[in-house]
Amino acid sequence: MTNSRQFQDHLLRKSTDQLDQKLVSRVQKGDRAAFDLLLVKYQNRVASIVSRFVSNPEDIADLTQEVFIRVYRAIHSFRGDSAFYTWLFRIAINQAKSYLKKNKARVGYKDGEHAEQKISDKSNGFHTETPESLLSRSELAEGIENALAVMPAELSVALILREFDGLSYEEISKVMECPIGTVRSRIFRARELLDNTIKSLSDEVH
Amino acid sequence: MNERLKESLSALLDGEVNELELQRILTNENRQEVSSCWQRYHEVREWIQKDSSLRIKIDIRSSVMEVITKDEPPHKA
Repeated sequence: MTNSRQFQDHLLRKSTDQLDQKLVSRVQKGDRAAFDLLLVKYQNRVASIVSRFVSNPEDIADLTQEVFIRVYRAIHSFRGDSAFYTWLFRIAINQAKSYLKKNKARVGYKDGEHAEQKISDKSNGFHTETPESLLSRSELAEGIENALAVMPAELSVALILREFDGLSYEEISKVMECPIGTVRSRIFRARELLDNTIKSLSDEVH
Repeated sequence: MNERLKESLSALLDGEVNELELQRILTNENRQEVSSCWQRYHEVREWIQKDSSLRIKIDIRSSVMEVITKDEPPHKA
């Protein structure tokens, strides 16, 4: 199943790379309509990445907008050595980090400090009507959402790039500008935190 | 089960292990723990992928296009 998924990811990425490269070439020649297609294609994915750093919907929208304006203005420097989306996601992460630096007091940085304790606190905040009741789907979904929201951004971004965008460890290492071993470790730690959340929620109802 | 083996299982889930590492997983004596961890990681994946609330939906098209329309068109250096 994993091999099949990998093969599908590979084919999808290849066709995506080719289409993106065509659109980027047109943008570089001054075609704004081609940029419009790239913008619509990637706006939700970029927003998902920046939402790992900031949680306010207005901040997410502002930041995502800034990312795309920056990408448009810098697109002449994209040489196509890597996939467009790895370049785009890298800019999104760097933009989010510098946005946080500027607005640290206002938005708060998910820097991982006491993150595991916070996840545990959130999990313990769940209540069920009776001890016998089964953990509902919505409670688990909310628990996972909370856990992702409070874990260090570097962990949740790595996991999201893998699970939502299907990026390989090598691609994630380019996006996050870190060694492949670090990507592997971050994804593992993120999964462990989510696994612990699910376990603690399940334990509460048994 | 040690952290190293669990990290290997996580990488296996992503198809990111080599033959040697796969062999180490498959020959581990704690079959029950390995299976249990493998199952839980799959459950975590399923939860993340089916939780649509984790996927942000946004529409900044008009605001971005409005800004860049005022820009000079980019030209390749």
